Amino acid sequence: MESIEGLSARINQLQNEANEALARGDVDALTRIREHLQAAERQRNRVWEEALASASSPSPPHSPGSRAEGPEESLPVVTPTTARDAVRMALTDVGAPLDPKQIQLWGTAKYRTSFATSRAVYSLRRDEQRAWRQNPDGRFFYICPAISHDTLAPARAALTVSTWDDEDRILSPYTPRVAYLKLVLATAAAVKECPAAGPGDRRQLEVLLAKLARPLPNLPPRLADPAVVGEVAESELALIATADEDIRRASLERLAALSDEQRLFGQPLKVHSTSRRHA
Amino acid sequence: MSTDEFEARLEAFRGDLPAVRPNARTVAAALDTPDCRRRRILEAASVDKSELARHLGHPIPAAQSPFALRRGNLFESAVKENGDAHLIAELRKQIDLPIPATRHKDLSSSRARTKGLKEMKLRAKETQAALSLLLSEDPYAPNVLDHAVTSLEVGGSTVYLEQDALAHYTGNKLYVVEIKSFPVINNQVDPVKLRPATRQAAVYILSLQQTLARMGHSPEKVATDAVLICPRNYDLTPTSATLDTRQELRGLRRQLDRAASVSELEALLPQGLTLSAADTEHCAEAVEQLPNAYRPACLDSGCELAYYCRSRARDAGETVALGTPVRQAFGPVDMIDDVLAMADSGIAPSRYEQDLAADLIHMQKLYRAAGGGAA
Repeated sequence: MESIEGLSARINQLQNEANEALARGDVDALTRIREHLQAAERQRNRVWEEALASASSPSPPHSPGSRAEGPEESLPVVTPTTARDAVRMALTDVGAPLDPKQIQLWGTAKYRTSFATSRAVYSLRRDEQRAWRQNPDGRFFYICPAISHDTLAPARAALTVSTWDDEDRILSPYTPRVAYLKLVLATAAAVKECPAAGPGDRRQLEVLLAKLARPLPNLPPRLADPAVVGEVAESELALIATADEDIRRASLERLAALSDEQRLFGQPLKVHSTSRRHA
Repeated sequence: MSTDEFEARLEAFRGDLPAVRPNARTVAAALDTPDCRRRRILEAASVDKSELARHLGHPIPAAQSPFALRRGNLFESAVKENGDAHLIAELRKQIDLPIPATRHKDLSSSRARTKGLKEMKLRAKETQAALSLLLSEDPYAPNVLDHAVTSLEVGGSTVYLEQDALAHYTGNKLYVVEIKSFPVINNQVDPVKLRPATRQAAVYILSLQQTLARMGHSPEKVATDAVLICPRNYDLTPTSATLDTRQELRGLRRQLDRAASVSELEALLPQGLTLSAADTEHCAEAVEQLPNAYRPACLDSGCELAYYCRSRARDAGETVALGTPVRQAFGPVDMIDDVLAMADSGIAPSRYEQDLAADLIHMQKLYRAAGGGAA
C-alpha cells in the first residue's frame, strides 16, 4: 500500500488539476480527475481507519457512540469507524430504512457530524457485505440494504441494520413514505426534547424539521411547530402503517428460506433467457 | 431479416463510436425532420452524433451547459428526496391523489446487472409488470413509478424512453409526470421553454399509450394532461401545473406516420458499412453513403450533424445552404450555379421556370445598374 505522504501529495495534485479543469470548463476531464481523486481519497481513508482501528481496538468504545444517549449504548462498538456508527445511530433513532441523504441530514442536525456523507454511506454498504463474507461474526452489527418485498433483491438506496428483525428490513411500496414520516416524527420529538440552551443544536433540528415538513399537507407555510407537524405526520402514518406491515410480513417466509448472506444483503437477480437464444 | 439481426447490424455500423441513449427530446426533435434518412439511421444505431460531428470537423456547441444539467439533476433529486415527498405533495394538488396512495416503486435501474439496450429492455419489462399490477386494481400495487421505461415505435423500430415518473390511483387515469428545472416566476413560464416541455410530455404520453396498447389495455387510460413540476422562483422549491398535450399529440402521431420504416432503413444501410473513431476520412465516406435532406430547419431541430450537412450543401452549391427564404425564392432550381446561369442567359430549363428566369434577368439588370458586379 502507498505511504500516507504519497497519498496526500497525490490528492493535492489531483485537486489542483480538478480546479484547473473546472476553470477551463472541461467537464470530461473533471469527471475523469474526480474519479481518480475519489479513489485516492478512499485509499487514504482506509489507511486512516486501519491506523485508528489498531490504536483503539483494546480500549472501550469512544465517540461518537458515547455521544448519544439511549438504546444505542447497549450495543458495544468494536471497531469504531465513524461513518458506520453514524449510520447505525440514525437508523436506530428513526427505526425505519433510510437513504444515505436522510442519514446525512439526521447526522448533521442531531449529532452535528459531517462524516456520514452520502458517498461515505454508499461505499460503506459495499464494504459491509465484503466484511460479512470474510467473517459473519466479526462485527456486532452490519449495515445492510433494505430488501424489496417482491423480488427480495437489495433496494437501491435504503439501509437497515443486521440486528433488526427480518420484517423490519423488508421494503414494501409504502416503506419509503413510512420512513419519511418516521423521520419527521423523530425530528419533531428531538426538537421538543432538545434544551433551547444547547449551542446551535436546537436551531439545526428546527431547520431540518422545517425542511422536512414542507411537503406535508395542510400545514401553514413557514411553520415548524413540532407538535403540529408531529400530529400531521402521525395521522398520515396511521393510514398506511398497517398496510405497510402486512406487505412486509407477507414476504417473511420467502426471506427466511434464503441463505444467510442473501437474508441480510438480498438476492442478486439474473437475466434468465434472451429472445435470441429462442430464435 | 429479424429485428434482432437489424439491431446487430446497426451496432456493427456504429463501430467504436460511443453510444447514446435516445430521450424524449431527441425523439421529438428527430420527428421535425422526417425525411432525413441519415439522421434516422444514425439515431437508430444510437450513434453519439455530437461525437461524430466532432470527428467530421464540424462540432456543434454543447447543447446544454454543464451548469444547467447540474441544476436539472439537483432539482429532480430535491423533488424525489425523502421518499418522493415533494412529488407526492404536488400530485395531491394536481390530480387529487388520495392521502394513503403513496406506494412507491423505484424502476430507475434494473436489479439484474445489465447495461445498455439490454438494460432498457429489461427495465421496460419491469415497468410493464408494474403497470399491469397497477391496472389490475390491486390495492397494494405501487402507484408512483419512479423512472419507468416505456417504448415508442418509430417506423417499426423501438425507442426506449425513461420517464421522470408515472402516477395513478384507483379509478383514475395514469398520469405522466415531467420534472423540469426551468423556473416558474410569478406564476409565469417562459413560453420558449414550455413548448419543448409540452412536446416531450406528449412523446412520453404517446409511448405510454403504445405500451398499454401492447399490453392489451386501452390507451384511453392515459391522461392527455401531463403533470409538470418546476422550481418556483429562484430556489429549488417545487411547484406544479398540468399541461394539456392534445394538440402536440396529434402533431406527433402525424409525424410518426410519416417516419421511414425499418425495412426502408435496412435497404438504405449498405452491407458492411462501419464508422470508425480513428479514421475521419473513412467516417465521412460512410456518412456520405447515407442519404440526407439538409434544410435550415435541421439547425433548429437540434441535429448535431446540421453544421456538417450545411457545409456539404454549401460545397455542393445547393441553394438550401443559403437559408430557407433563398431556397423558397428559387423553387425547383436547387443548385446555385443553375440560378446564376439562368440570370446570365435568361434561359429557363422548363416552362415552369420562365417567371423565375424573367425575375432573375430583371434583378441582374438592377444589380448592374446599381454598380454591382463591375469588377
